[in-house]
Amino acid sequence: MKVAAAAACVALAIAGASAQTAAPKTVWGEPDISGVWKVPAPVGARANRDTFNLAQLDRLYKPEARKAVSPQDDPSLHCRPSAFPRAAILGGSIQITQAPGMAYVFTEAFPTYRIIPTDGKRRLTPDFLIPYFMGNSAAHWEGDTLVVDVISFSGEGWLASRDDKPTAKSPGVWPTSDQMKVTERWRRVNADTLEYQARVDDPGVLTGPWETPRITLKRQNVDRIEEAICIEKEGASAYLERYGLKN
Amino acid sequence: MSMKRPVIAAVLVCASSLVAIAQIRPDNRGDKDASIFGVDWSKGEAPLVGESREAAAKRLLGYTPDPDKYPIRRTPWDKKPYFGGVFWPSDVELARAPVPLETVYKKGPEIQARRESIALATWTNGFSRPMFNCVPSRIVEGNTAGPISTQVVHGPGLMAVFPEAGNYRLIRIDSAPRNTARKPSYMGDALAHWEADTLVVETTNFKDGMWLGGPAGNRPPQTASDALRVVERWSIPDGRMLEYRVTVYDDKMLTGPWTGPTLRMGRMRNDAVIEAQPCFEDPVLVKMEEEYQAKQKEKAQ
Repeated sequence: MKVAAAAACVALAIAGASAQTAAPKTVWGEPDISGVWKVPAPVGARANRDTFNLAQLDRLYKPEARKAVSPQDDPSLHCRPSAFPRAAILGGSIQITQAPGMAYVFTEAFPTYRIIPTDGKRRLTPDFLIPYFMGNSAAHWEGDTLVVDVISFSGEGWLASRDDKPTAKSPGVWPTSDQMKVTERWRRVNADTLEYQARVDDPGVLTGPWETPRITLKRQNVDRIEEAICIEKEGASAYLERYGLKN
Repeated sequence: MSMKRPVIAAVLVCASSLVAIAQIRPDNRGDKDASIFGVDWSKGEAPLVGESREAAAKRLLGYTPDPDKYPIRRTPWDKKPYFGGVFWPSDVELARAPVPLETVYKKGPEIQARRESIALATWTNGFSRPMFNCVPSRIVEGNTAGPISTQVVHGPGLMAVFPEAGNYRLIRIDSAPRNTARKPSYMGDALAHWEADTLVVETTNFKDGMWLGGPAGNRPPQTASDALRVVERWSIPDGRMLEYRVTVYDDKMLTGPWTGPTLRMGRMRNDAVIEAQPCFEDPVLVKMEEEYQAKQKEKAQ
């Protein structure tokens, strides 16, 4: 009897632990990716450590695409947002909320937002797609993974920072073009972890597709992201420092 | 006083209106003409782009809400009214403010000095309106600042509001205590609760010097202090609109609370979206400002 009771206790404990860590669902049945999320440690290529697959990206750039670009053109130095995937690793939190068939992503750094229909239907006809910093998203669920196709970028964002240099020869400039397409995969691994991965196709500046590694974002124990408005007159460098953002 | 001030204000308002039209988009149904201009309000369809502010005001003010015919959509998580959608325009007054805001301002040199000298709100040159430098000023001023449209996102425990060409606000909907660690901010800390089907949003912890209203004539801007508390009441009379009223409290600047007009906003078609347009300083306007400042300096010498 004692053995059976012990086994039952172990089973209950395992079930309890599993319930605690399982990826939750929304009331209406979609995987729940809502919450405030942040990368736990800086992601990029600094001090001979490349955690964002930037050495590969470096090799993919068409030389002419970087020719007239200076590190000082980094949009972060001018209060301009960069799209995801870079927006996921800037160091500020992101907040996601959901309603049936929709997901909304808010960024703390260079505050902006994305509206992501999760029913697979893009909301705009090509005639109404206006190039935009964050692009235009349409998504569908593949099991627990939200797969987002993003098009219609303005080509003003960068894929990494001017300080990201995976090799000594890297120029530290990471421009994009308005031909960029991004395919993202968002997955809630467990209660406290969200995984993000992206593939970037940009024939305007790259010779082939670039894939980010899987980025882990951790749930933050706060109800909302902070307001972090970047005011150009006050200086973007001061802004980055004030909010502890990666620059 | 500079003659340029009204000109600049007009430029900003016009630019803002153009952005509004550009940002609101129809969906993929294919029938572009119908989706833009041919929507028949009498058949229960919400309008998209192409409707003038005057036409929208006439439509909204001449309409009696009918929740039986146009039911209020409710959320699957708490069965409360669902506020998600795009609403246009945001300045149609169903009922006027009982008294003008200016009448509740405290008098005296100290208050006057605060209104004229707050760093982000210097007002004499027309270039220092918060919006000019991409400083958010939307929570009170923005709600009556012109014919803009507003997107509302509503999820479990959270509502987000994006006035077009402005910054988003995140409103927490629950009864948990306020997080006192949050820093004072332009948009403040917004917490909401339900009173029956009305969402009551109470916002505090603002930065000092937010604008409640702009300057006019010899009147300095209607600035607030860090004691500002804003209470908004959001409701949905039927599935085609929302109504909004704001009351402002500021013991340091006002003699008592001020209640704004009751605003009625029409819900646009469910698939309308406003995409974020981050605010950047316009190099042309910045150059104009520099020239103006240089002239002022010359005059002073």
